Amino acid sequence: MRILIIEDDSDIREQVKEELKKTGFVVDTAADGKMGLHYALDYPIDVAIIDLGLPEIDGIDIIKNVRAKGLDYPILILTARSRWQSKVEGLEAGADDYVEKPFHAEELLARVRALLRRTGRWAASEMTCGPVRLNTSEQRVFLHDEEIILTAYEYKVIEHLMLHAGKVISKSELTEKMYDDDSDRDSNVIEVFIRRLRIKLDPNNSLKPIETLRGRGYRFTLPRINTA
Amino acid sequence: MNSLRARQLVSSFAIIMGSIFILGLILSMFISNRELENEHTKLKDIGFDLLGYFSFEKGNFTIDTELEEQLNKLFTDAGFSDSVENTAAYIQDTNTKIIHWHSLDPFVNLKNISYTKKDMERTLYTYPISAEPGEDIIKRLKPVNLDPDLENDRNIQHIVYSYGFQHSPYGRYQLVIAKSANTLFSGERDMVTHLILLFSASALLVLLAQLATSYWVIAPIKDFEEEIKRLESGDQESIVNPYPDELNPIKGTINALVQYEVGQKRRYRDALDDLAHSLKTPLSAIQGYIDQEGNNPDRSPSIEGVSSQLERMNDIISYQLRRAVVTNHHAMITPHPLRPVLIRLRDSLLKVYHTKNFTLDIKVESDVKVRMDNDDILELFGNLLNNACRFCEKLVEVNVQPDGNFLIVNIDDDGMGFPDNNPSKLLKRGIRADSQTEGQGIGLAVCTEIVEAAGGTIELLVSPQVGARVRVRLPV
Repeated sequence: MRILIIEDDSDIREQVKEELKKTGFVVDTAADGKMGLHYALDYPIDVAIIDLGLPEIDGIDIIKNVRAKGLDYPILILTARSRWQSKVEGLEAGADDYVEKPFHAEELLARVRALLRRTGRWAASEMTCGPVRLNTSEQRVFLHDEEIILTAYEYKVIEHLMLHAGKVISKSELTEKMYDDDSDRDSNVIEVFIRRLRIKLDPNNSLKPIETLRGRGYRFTLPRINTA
Repeated sequence: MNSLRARQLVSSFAIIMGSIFILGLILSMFISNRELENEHTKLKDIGFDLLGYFSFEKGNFTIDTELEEQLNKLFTDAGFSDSVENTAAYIQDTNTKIIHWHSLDPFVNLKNISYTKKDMERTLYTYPISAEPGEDIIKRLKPVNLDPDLENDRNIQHIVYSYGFQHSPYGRYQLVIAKSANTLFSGERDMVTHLILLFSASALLVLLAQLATSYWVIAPIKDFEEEIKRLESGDQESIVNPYPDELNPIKGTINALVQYEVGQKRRYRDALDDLAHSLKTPLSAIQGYIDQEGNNPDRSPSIEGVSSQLERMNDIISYQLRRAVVTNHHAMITPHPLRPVLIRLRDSLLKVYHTKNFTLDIKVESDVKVRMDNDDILELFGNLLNNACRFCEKLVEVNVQPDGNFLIVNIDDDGMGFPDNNPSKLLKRGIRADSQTEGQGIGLAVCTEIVEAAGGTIELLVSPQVGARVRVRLPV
């Protein structure tokens, strides 16, 4: 999952970045509106956290630009303005939720997770597809209620696939969601992760949870159980 | 008299009627004098004709009886026998006041006859007039020896002509000819009647013309008034239509005032937003550091204290900044429609509470307005609806009912409701309904500030769904 943070205060920016990275997200940051808009429009973002009071370009203008380009990933507003006028303007511009400053890291994280579930139309923090159950807040995966031990990268892959269960996810998209901008990228690694996941999720080769579509990518095939 | 048109009509009517009265008076005096002058000429001619009949010998005036026929003709021509004109003449010694001759007994020398006072009153009127020799006078007079019962009768007034002459050494005399002023009065009355008719018709025409022109003159003022009403009702933001030169300065002043008010409010709110950003961003960073430290097993116990103080600071800043932007009721506030604000908030809140399966029902017609600043309406109902959405199970409903010059707005939910023990405490600053939910206490306290500044009231009740009902009573 790739998250963009546009926040001019370096302390808050770094704190949020660290918190999200610890949870396993890939994080891009921008310190002003201009750079933020560039990331927001040109990077494959899953969720954007945007401060409203930004230098160069205002947060609301960034949101309007993103929506005008047809990008529909969830946007969370960070605002110090507690008046409803600001919140409503932000939500009307295209944001999906807001968090008022000062905030607790857990609260922000919970909102981000809720927004991510919303994109994949998952209403709860637990996603269940067939016998596979994934808890996003605890980052744990169960098969027939028995926990499967996954590495951080394996978890990222299965989470993204289950979040978009039924949809085709390209190899490059998975790579971008998993790695930081400056990380070395090796698309063959994705194939390794997929193979390992298939073994862990389907040891008897009876479920076939991950389908490969040649030249297009992968699809999580198990039916959603608790879709919103 | 508050209508300009009524003022114009009344003042025009007063001016026209005053002018007509003065003009009528002047005309009446002029015509009356002219009539009197005509009578003067007539009576002077009669006087000279009459004096030609007299012989004067040793202090006695006599007329030869042979001249009776000519004299009677003269009397007839001059109206001496006419019952309306009632003309009479006499010769009087101006010193002794003795009457020497009178037209009632033209061939009798009256000098030596003694009349009774009753005779004098009934027949022989004399007048308070005295002409010097060679002088002639014309006046309107009442007889001196008038019957007291007739004193106030206007018709008793006579036109009296007197010509003075002298017969030395016998004395000075005057020939007095008097006739009834009735004909003069009836002429004046006719003239006054005609004048009244003429002037009334003119006045009516002028007033009708005034009424017609007043619509044309007052029309821009009426339009101006309509625009002011629309401005006041919030349907438009400034006066835009073109107006006559006399109204343009007022238009400019009102527009400038409105713009100033709006601009001032916007600058003030922008400044407070900047201040909020400047204060809360460092608080947020501190909160982040506390959160990081909170995960450390060897953290200092004082971290909890710092966190609690930080929360307190945030509450104070939030509360003070939010109440600072509340518009007080002395400001120029126009009524604003409630429904568009509620719809905006509903759409925003349904986004925020996307995962919660509930209905937010706005039962407010589009013509319902409240006399509050638009930002304050948004802030008030933003807080109240947010609380309702947060605590409801399946339903939030907003309904209204008129209450005289106020509007009652109920925000109902089917949640757990307010605590039984003194819920009004929640409306005061710093008391929270749910200590685990940030900001509610501040929100309700700010709502109280907004409602009270607008001149309304706020109550916490129980909804028909046995949840919370916040009832606000707002001016319209």
